[in-house]
Amino acid sequence: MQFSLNGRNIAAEPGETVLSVARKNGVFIPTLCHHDAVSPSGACRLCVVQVSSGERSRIVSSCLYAPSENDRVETDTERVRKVRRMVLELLLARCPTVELIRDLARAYGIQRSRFTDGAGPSEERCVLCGLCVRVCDEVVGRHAISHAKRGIQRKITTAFDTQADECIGCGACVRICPTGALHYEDLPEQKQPERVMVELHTRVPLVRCSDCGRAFASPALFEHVSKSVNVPPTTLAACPACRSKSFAATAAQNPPSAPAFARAHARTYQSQLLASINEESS
Amino acid sequence: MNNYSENARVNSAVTGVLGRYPDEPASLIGVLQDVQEELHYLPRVALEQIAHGLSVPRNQVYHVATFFKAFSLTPRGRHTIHICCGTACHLKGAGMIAEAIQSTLKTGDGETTEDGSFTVQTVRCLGCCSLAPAIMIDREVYGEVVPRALRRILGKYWEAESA
Ligand code: SF4
Ligand code: SF4
Ligand code: FES
Ligand code: FES
Repeated sequence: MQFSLNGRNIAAEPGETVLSVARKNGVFIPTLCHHDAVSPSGACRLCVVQVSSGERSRIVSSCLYAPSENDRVETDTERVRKVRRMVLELLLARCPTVELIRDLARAYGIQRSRFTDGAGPSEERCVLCGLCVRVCDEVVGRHAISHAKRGIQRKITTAFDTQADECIGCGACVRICPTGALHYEDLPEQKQPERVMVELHTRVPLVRCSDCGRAFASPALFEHVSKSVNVPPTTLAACPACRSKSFAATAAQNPPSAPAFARAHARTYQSQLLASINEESS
Repeated sequence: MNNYSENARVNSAVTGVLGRYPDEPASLIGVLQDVQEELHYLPRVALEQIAHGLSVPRNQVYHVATFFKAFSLTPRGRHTIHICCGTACHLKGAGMIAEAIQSTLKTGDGETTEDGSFTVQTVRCLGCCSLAPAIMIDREVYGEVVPRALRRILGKYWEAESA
């Protein structure tokens, strides 16, 4: 299967998406709701590209669109940039405090959104990209959270907006969230230590590390990890820090805490994104 | 009604509906529609029972039940009055009709009368503009409605209720 990507002839597997081909070939396309670990959903429309076949050209989401023979795909035309600007302006109106959205908007020349309701800046961080829902459904397999309601009330939540016993407190949703809309907080000092899924109305009991006694994960998470990577639960009874200590003296320092890891990850993704946009527009 | 008998009523309604559908996730919308029709709302216990019965995760059931306007998680009246406020009906005085209905029934838009007989809801275009102004009660459409006809129209449902 041959098609052209920004003027270059490229071979693609049948059914492969433009986004996947572009990434393999070092062509950058910005995305918000795409992650290789989960199925694509086409929720954010930031990844739009222009596809021409014959005389006609149209705008499609590159994370969903599989090119046909002889399509001409352009990833950064003025028409494409215009759609992305609109998407970003709307996202900026919804989430004016989210740095990633602000940086992306700025990279596309948007300083402020025309679409504010005059009620002052909203604290909303969720762009409803659905990555958290898909990772919980498809990777963790717990189905603890979903979109709920419709229109401007649409949100991410647990069933009935209350404690979801399906949740194992794995934190996958927190890590995958591109905007930092989800958090958890550990309460290790309580008699029964707990992980609080702050936005998800849910508390998950934690057990203590067999070595250092730090409360660090839930029994349900052990069970899940032990099943999915096929290690006995006893291997997991020590926290990652103690485990790495016992595995190798050189790895004696603590690994970064989960929130620090998430921040570091967000920064790399963000800087990568911005570097590529700036490169393309210069 | 106390909680116990309400739960028993919900349970038997849901069991009846589930019995008419294959036990598979694809039945979800049909089951929700039938239970909504029977109970006039989808209480949490019903949704939990449906999730269990069709092997659909609870998050998915909640997602669907809160997405469609046809479903309500709080009790709706035994009859739903849709007042059309679409363009044609608006021009023909839908505002007056809405006001008349709401003051007769002492309810606001989207609310249910105290006795649980009617839920009033404004909608955009019922798709019968030539009959404007139109209202629809349950599945029956009333066209060219004038405020003084309302008592007669609503009276029919009241009578049926008290019969
Ligand atoms: S922390 Fe809970 S909601 Fe989040 S992905 Fe894990 S199981 Fe799902
Ligand atoms: S919480 Fe985060 S990952 Fe989930 S939909 Fe909102 S922005 Fe996306
Ligand atoms: S990445 Fe394609 S629509 Fe979001
Ligand atoms: S506007 Fe009322 S039926 Fe069309």
